[in-house]
Amino acid sequence: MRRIRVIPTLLMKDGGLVKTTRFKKPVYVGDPINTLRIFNEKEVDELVLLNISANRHDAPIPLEVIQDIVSEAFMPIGFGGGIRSMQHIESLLKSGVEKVILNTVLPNGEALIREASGQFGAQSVVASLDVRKDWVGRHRFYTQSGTQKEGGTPVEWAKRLEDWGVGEIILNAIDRECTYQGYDLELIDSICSAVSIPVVASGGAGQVGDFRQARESGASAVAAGGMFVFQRPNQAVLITYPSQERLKKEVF
Amino acid sequence: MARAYIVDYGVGNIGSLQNMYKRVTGQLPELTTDLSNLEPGDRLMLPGVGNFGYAMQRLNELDLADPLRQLAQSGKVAMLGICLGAQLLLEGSEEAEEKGLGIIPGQCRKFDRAALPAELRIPHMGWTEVGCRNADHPLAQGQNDETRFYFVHSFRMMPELPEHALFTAHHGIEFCAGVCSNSVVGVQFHPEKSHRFGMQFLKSFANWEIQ
Repeated sequence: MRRIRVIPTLLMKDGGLVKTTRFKKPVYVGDPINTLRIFNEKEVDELVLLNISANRHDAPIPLEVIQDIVSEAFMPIGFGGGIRSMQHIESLLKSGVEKVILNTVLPNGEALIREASGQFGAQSVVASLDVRKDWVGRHRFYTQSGTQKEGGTPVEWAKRLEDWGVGEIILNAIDRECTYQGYDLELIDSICSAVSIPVVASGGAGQVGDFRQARESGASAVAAGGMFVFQRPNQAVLITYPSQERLKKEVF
Repeated sequence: MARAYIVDYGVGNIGSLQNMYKRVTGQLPELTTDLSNLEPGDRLMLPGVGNFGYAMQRLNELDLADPLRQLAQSGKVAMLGICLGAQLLLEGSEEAEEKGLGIIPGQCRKFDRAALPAELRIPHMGWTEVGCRNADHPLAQGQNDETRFYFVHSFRMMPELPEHALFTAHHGIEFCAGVCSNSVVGVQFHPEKSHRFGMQFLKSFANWEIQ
């Protein structure tokens, strides 16, 4: 048995939780604290909380709000969205977040990553490697909520980020977000083979069997959004999470 | 009634620890940097996340290292180190030049990635089952086959004496997940992030009858 972490990803916008599809079309799914309490009861492995208003010059989420959310959580939380400075990282970690998740700051983030990783430990610095395929099917790294394409391949970026001191990579296939078509296994395999740090597969999970495939492709954890907050086919909001028995039997 | 304290030295997550401790005991631990007024039977928690050297520097700057050693020596206060806070109980770490508290003989060493199968990564992050070397120990109460804890670390504790190793876990190799000496215990995992398993553990710590 090799356990992998199964992580619900929650997106915050204007104080509420939303779910997007391919980084677009946010749909309101509920209040953060209530949702968190449900995930507490379901004993989820970990949570990823991303503030998706951050790149649009809206006010950042006040630290007290994050603190209130995190203090309710009896599982680890990674937080991302609009993080650009050492002060911001420090205040988030002090507020009880285990990990900060960086994306837009990454291309010019060597100094910040080295400093944060040195002071707070590599395990608290996570890179969100948001990837989209270009018109000939090559994987490309994106920042700024999937709007800015960066030069270089995701594999090159993954190696570089590991070298700078990132402790984990969330590998996010933008084109698959909330499509339920399964993870991009080829992408997962290529990144897992290139680095020694844990890789979290994200984007496309539709069923528990998808977790197993990601695990077999080398992922140390899987993240999913839609699968845990929507009930198909009509996308009614329903917070769910697979039982330990099921995960042990079908995934680990 | 014995009181509970958390050493507030700016290293590590305190909110969840306070909340979970309160949830299981009804008592909110006080944050403190003054260890002079602790009384026999009190509980003292030393959290910690990040770099070993940075954390020891903070403890030294706040003049906390010696009082912590003295409290451990006295055996009168139940002390719990968590994650890096547990590693600090040892004499030192491969991660930094700074000396540790030296309450428990031994060192911390980095996991050797080359010795692990390719699918196992460093840092070790995730939920892992924990075994106990001494099932009768008060801090092992309530644990069973289902018990698992959340870990996140790149370094592991290597106590010199086998009697100081209380818990074990596996990440490619077996490693020490918890150390113990008299009234001092240190755990590599995060009870405050481990749902009901962590609650059970903190409850055992709160109820621990030390001599």
